Amino acid sequence: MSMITIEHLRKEFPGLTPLADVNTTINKGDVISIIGPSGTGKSTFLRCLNGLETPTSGKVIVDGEDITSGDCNINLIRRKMGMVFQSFNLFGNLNILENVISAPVNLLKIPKDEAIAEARELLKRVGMLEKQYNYPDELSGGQKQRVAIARAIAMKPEIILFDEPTSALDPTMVGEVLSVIKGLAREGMTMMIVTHEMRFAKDVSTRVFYMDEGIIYEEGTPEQIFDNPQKEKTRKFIKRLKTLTFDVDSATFDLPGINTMIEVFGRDNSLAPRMIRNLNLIFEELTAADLVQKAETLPIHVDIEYSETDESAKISLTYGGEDYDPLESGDPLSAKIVKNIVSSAEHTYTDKNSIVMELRS
Amino acid sequence: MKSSSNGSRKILPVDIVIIVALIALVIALVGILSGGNDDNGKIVDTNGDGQVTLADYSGKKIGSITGVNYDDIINKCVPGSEIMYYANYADMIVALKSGMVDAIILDEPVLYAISRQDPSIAGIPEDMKPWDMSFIFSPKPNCDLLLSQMNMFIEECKEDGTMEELQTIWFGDDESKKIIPPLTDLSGEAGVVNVALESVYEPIVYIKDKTIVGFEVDLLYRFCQKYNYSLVLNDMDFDAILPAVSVGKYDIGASGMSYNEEHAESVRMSTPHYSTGTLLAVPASDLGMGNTANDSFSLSGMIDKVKSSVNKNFVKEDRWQLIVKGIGTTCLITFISILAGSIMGFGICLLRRTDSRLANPICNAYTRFIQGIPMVILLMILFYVVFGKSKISSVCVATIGFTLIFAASASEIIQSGLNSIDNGQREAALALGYTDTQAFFRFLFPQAALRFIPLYCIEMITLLNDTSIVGYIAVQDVTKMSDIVRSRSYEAALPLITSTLIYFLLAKVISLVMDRLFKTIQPKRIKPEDKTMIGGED
Repeated sequence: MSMITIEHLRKEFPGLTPLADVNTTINKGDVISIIGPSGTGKSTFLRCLNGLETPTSGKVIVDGEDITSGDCNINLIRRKMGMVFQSFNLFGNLNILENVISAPVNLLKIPKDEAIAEARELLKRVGMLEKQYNYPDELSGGQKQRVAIARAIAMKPEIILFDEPTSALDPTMVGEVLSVIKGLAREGMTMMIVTHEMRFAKDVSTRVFYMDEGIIYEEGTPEQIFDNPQKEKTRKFIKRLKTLTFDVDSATFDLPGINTMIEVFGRDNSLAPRMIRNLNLIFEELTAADLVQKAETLPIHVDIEYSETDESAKISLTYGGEDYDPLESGDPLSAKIVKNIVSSAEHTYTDKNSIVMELRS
Repeated sequence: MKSSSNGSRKILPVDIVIIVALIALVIALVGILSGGNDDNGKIVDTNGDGQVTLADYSGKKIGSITGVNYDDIINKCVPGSEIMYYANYADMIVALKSGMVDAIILDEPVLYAISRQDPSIAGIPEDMKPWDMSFIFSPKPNCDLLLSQMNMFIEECKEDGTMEELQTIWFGDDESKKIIPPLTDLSGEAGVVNVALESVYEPIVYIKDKTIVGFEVDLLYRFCQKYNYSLVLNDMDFDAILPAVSVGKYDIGASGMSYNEEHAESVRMSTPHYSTGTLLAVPASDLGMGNTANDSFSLSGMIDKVKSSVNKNFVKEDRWQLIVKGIGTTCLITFISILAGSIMGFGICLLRRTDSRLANPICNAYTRFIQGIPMVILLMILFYVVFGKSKISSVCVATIGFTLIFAASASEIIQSGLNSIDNGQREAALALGYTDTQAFFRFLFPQAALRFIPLYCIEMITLLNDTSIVGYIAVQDVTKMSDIVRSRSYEAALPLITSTLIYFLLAKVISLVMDRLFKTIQPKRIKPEDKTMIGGED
């Protein structure tokens, strides 16, 4: 059952267009993780859904009402849409219990006793009942965020929007908040979560949006997005790939310079020192000692990729000339050294030679 | 607001220290000053002609009062002397008695009144400049009749001996004769005569037994009696009388106005009603008169002096009631201004929040304008220009002025408090379904209040102290009343330190109230040991 329909949503800021054209439908029971690089409009997208940002154009239809139209009472729509912020935003002048009961009592006109009983139940669920009389500034970040979640649930919303709920937290506190959100997912709460926690997104969601270039760049089940992304940008983001590419176009190229370049790339991306040495070694044995000696191979295109997720590296060499695999037909000692280092090596030839080698730490 | 942090509302030791220090200062100053210049009995006869004359004061320090042009006279009659300016007679006399100046220049009747009360001051009997005393009249056409009636009346009085009788009464020694019937006895059939004067000018216009009396007042009373007017006396700063009359705020200006060409340009002058002179007053000891007995410096002597000073300043003629009245006026202006200014300042903040293209620049312009002009000038503009023609009371004008001033600073302070609240608070409230207004009153303002109250309290105390300038527009607040007392007792220390204490205590009241308010809206944090106790119910 469709709950929210988004049509051609566009949001412009002066000199910046975080959302270009977003189209999607959110159904009851969906748990949607929104991932993507920083600055690609994930938070803006979420904030457009409950009107905290006013879209430049397009429609956001919630339960049949277009919130972008003038005659819609956004305050009533917002009651149905909970929101949890990166910076918690608990009301500093109210204690924990008051934070949770404030909106139900004042807006939904629920009798105070009833609201307090419910709030205590919720606080118990998020493990915060003990702190009910404390004030927000006496709580840790993780505790605040759990209270913020309880505050959102207390309105019995149809959907909860999480805007990077763990980004402002110490790594030690991320777990307690994620487990509360997981609990909600198990109960069938409809949720949209902007997050950088990939493992969590994979475990908890039913759908994953990869946002980039102001649109939902790729969408799918967690398996599709995380294990088998279809688009290059998605794959790079998921694997958290770091790449280094350069060409060698002369036999008298600057070998120490290239070695230094690989070393800097490795250090910048926290590669294991051994892996940096090995990448250098492969480059030297195959390219410097072998391929550049043959003039027809030039230019040699070198592509190094490092995945932070599985801490593996891939080095590929693309070069011209006839079908030639240095690991088979080149200097046996070099071939042996390289084969010892790599976990796999594959040579192909179509109109060009290509050799792809993988290294694991 | 320091006391808010340590949670005590009792008067703190620091306050007690200040009060004790002030009282000690009173005793010391009064003890030293009220004795007068009795350190020696020398006769100042520098040129050795066997007589103390004006020439003996050439090259010395001469005290003069501001707002009256004595410079020429001093330069002509006592050449080469250095002129020191004082705001009122009381200050000048204190300066003479404490030796800050060697002589002071005074009008004859004033000198007479002073020396009668304080024999340690005497005049050199050489008239430096005879002059005529008149009333000034508003240039408005509706005062034409009034002026001609007054001129006629003065002529009549001179002819039938009334003027002489008045002089005998007011410049004489018999205090029992110095009485004017209540102003309410006047019929007022022909209308109201509004008079601007300053009541610190014994025996011309001064306060005795809490009412304004004096030679000129008596003359005015008799005039009104004859022509069936009612009389309203407006006591204000001398400097303010001429402008107030020239714009027509008042019909007549009194308090020993002399004729000069500048005055004649903006106001009209009546026929002179009294011819007088200008004398130099010096310590009586200079002339070999007065009490030259050298008091020995002792504690009991000092306490006696304090007693007599208290008697002179507060007990005599029930002068303490003047001070009490002044406290009432100061409180009225301060507290109404704070209240109305807070409401207005809050309104300005709300307008600014609307992001309206019009409201924001207007509010900004308002605060910049109000904060950009000196308060005295703002008050005078309100008094003489804005409300110049209206009959609104001067306390009212002062209250309006300080309301405008307080609104400007209150709005700035509230605004800065609101700005310090993270926008996330508002967004969280909106996301729950609160309206913008609800979010403001439930979450933003209460949190901002906690941050701006300490600053707000300081601003309120500043306002209280700033109200001491209202004397400029004929309001009799604590400061003005203490000036009036000083003008009768010719003492500075006790009245001034009493005003200091009064302002200090009023400021204390403000900070106690604000402290209390702060505690009321502060979140009620519960100490860890109490939590289990309350945890069960609610």
